[in-house]
Amino acid sequence: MSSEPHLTLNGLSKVYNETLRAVDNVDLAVQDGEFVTLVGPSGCGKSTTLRMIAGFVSPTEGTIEMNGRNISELTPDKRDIGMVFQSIALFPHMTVAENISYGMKVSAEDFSQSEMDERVEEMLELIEMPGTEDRYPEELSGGQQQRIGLARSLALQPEVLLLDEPLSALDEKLREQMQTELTRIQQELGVTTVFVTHNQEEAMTMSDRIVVMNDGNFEQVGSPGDVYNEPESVFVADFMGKSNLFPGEVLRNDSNQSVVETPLGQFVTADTSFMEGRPVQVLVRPEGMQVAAAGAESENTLDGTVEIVHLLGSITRYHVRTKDNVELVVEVQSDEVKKREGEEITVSFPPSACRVLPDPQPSEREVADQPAMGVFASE
Amino acid sequence: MSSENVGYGQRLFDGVLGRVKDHFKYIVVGIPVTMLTVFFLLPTLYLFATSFFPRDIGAYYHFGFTLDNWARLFDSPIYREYLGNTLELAAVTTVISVVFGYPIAYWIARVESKNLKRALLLMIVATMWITVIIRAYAIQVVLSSNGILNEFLIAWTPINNPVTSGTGYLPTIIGMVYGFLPFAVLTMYTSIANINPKLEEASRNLGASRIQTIRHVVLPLSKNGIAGAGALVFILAIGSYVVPMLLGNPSEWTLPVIITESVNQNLNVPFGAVLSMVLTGLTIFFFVLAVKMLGLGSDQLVGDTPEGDADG
Repeated sequence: MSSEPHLTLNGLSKVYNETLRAVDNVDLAVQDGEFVTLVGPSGCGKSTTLRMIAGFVSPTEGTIEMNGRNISELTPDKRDIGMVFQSIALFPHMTVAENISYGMKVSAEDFSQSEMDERVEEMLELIEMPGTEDRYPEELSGGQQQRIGLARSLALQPEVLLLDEPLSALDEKLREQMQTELTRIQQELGVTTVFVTHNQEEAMTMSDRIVVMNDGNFEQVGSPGDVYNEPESVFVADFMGKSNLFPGEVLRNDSNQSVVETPLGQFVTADTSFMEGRPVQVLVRPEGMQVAAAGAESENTLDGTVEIVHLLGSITRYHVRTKDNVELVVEVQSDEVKKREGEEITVSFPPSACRVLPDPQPSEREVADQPAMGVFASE
Repeated sequence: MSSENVGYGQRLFDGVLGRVKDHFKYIVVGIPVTMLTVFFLLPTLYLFATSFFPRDIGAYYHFGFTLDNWARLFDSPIYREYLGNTLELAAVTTVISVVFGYPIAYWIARVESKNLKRALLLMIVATMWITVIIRAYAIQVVLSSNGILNEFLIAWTPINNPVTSGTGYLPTIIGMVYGFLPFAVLTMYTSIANINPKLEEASRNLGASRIQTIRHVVLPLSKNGIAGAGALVFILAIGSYVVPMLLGNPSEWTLPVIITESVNQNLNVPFGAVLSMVLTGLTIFFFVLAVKMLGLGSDQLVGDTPEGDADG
């Protein structure tokens, strides 16, 4: 992070009706060529943030800077930012070529027809759709339309590319293709990109850096590995992938271990970041769980019954219900463990697989809207 | 179902119901066709026949055949002048209604608050609740030489003499536009509201100004709405009677006014029939022309398809 950031958000807020803080004082520095994803549930403020960068929503507080220059007061057409829309929004009355060269046509710069034709051809090559210049958008499939939308937004070589859930209108298979395609094009051009999605898998596979948003705030900013393996809050842990969460209280801290008292029993964790007596939640990812061999002695064990078996290829996912009626998600190598539905098993997890997170206040927990996984009636 | 267990009445009822069901589409189409035949087609044909009946001075007319009525239309240049008046007034009204109506329609279509949008649409419709006669007199009150406008101008500006009068070309145009603007606005509103607002955002994002966005995106995608509004206003304006009658001097009188004159003042029904046939023919001619020229299907007269139709 030695170089000056390309795009900076400084204390950016958007307040609706004087009280609703859709985006609440967020800061972000995007490096040149970086692919940053804003991810979060619907209504978390990610689209509002993107629309503020594009200039369609004016910030209530804070500034947006590009190359150190404040652009928050500029109208959308003066920002030199490309955008791909969720609804694709190709001009239906224009051909593919006219759509792609639209930015050049309305530009104050005088582009000649041959320059425009050349650029259109270049862009169509980039998105691997050469020869489609004279087609109309309605003659193209959804995936093709989205690619033309991308080509259109890149034709003027913008400083920053904004992607507003561009893949959510596509079907599953097409979406995966387009993910790869988008990543390839983004890397080929090295264009600074801000991507918005509610799909955590999309965020994980495509981004250099992920911003997890909740309730107008940035919950966590980090690499995909960081937010998955080292979530800083229950919300992030829960939103980014599957999780087993056990609410409890820190009982004691040893030199390199911490014991957490939960209604399911005491768990030994390798995470000593919380003081004794703090209400916490213990996070164990499904792949951190193991199915213990019969009679084997180990720390952190739970007995339960296999309820559902999902074979996901080389990995099998078990949904296990404990005697205390808590549902666990366990993922193990398919060839190592073979259990059937209804079978009684013992699940264990090593202290190193545990991460201890601060227990959110009940009100916050409601906002996080977590599933009933690991939540107890006794609380 | 066995018919032995049900009564005759029930069977009769089922039979009739079955027939109604079998012929349902003919009944549905038949009702308006009958209405149009009885109340439009037959009267029009009778009117057409009347235009060939000889006139009785001081009385009405008798059955017979003469070309005198039609000859009078072509012999006297005054009727060509009235025809020109009618077309010119309609054309000017159409252009002003569309040009002024478009920004209003665009604004209402893009207002964010749903309540404000409803209020604005209601206001547009509300102007049509007041009868055109009252509106015409209101315009006269405002514009006449000792009316509100002139008194204000004389009292508060260096102007010393009335600049408008209660009747004439300007009041007629104002009255016509006032009457037909709502039709133009509502027709174009439907068309603009169907354009995806994201298209305008995309255009702005690609560096187009507001004006460029309207010119390159909104206007082309609402052109069917504009054409529909123009055709509607023009056809309505050709047939307008009250406004030219009340606000126009004889030089602004239109065919409908002359038709009334001919029938009510001169008791010349056959010649009134001739002029009526000319008016009907004109209306049909311009309607067909509008449909042909603009390549409009019947659905486009109602409004553009969502996203605007890509007619490439």
